[in-house]
Amino acid sequence: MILRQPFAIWLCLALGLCLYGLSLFHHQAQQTGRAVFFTGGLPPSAQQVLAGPFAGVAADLNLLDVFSIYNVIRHRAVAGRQTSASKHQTAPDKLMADNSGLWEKLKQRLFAAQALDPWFWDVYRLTVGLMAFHKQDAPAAVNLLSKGAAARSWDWEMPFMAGYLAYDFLHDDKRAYTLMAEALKRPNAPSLAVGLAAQFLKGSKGSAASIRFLRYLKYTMPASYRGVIDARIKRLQQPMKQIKKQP
Amino acid sequence: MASTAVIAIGAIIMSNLFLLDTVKVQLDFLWLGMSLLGIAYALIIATGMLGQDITQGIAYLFLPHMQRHAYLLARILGIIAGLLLLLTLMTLVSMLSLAWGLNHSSAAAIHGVTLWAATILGSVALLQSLTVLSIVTFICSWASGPIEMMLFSSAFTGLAYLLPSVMQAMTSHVVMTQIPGWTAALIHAVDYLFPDMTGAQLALSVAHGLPLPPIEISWFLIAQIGYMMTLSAIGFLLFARRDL
Repeated sequence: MILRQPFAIWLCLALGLCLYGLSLFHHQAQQTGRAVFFTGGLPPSAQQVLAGPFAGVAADLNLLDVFSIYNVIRHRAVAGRQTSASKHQTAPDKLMADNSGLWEKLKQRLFAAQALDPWFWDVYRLTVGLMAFHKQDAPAAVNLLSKGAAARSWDWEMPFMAGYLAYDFLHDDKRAYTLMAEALKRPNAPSLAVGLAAQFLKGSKGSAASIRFLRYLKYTMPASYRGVIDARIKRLQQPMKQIKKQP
Repeated sequence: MASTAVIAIGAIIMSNLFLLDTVKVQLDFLWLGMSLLGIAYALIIATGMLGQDITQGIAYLFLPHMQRHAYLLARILGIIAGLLLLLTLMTLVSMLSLAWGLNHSSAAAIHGVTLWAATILGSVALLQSLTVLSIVTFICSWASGPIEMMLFSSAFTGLAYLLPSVMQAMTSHVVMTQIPGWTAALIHAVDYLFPDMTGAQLALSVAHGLPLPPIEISWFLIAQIGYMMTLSAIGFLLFARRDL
């Protein structure tokens, strides 16, 4: 009788939607085991299919996911510190294990955003800020930044950072030199890159190769770089002269 | 009018959530807004009007005095005039919003983006909406009721959006080496039935201020115009023969 009234039908619809929505939230919370929803996401290829002409927006949404995941990680870290300070029974190892899952998700979102929009600057800045200086994530960060260096052909920052990380974390001098030399080809590259590239080449192929590379740079780079290049060549030549004098 | 302002303000709000590429994010959301606005107009307003005309007898008022194709052409031109007005307003509002964004961003973040970016996106949105309008014309020329017209037009448009990316994945080298030749031909045939609504990813290049490849754009335009002409012509032929 009461269901014949239009208001009752609308009420029934609203109540039904609320209950169904609540059950979905509950289901997802059970699956993920945490209080934040919708940070799972789809793989990049599936997102590309669904995004169609709106790949840029899909990349933006992935980055918003990154912010959300990072926020949860930060809150957990604070909560973890508080509980361990008050010597409760929560195991810090368990917290770390949970956070490592979230770090993995964060990494996936950054890779997805990069695949959807390879020119997006924020992706690489967040890669440097969030991934690059964790030892376990450094290889992935170097890969991501190398992709960024290929896409953003006008920007020296990506190959520069990738080169530095390849040297410092991966100890791969050859790769570090290749990336740093790439950074030097870009407009407005800092003079610091000259010294770093020469140092990486010295590490992988020796001083003579490094000096040859610097001499090549001296004639190909703008005149403003010459002072730095000359100083670097002098510094590399000094130990070589000393070695020659010794016998 | 209100929707254009909401889209522009929404794009500014979204762009302020990001760190560096704020102009790019703003253009992404402006593109999403104007594209969806044009498509919603074509799917809801145009389908509603044509459906009402054909199924509720409004067409009878005109058809004794004019030919069917002239009637349909006049109706569609009126709908296009409304679409032009809407997208021109959207483009102007987008330009204003973009001018604000450009004033509040660093030179590195702007990277070649000018106010013309909003105009280019508006033109691509217009092209997309016209393609959807040709789909609507085709569907309305033979479907029997307004609900059918709306459902089929939406399904066709949805497929046109999703299929190019699905086809790209299905026609990748890895897949093609593992399937028989006739299946590959079938996949390509399905692909050719639907227009490419991805806009050749023009929007992404515009949002980053990258140079647009002229040959790729020319072929995209030719394909879109050719598809629109073909589908509209079939629609007009079917409308001339349908029961009213």
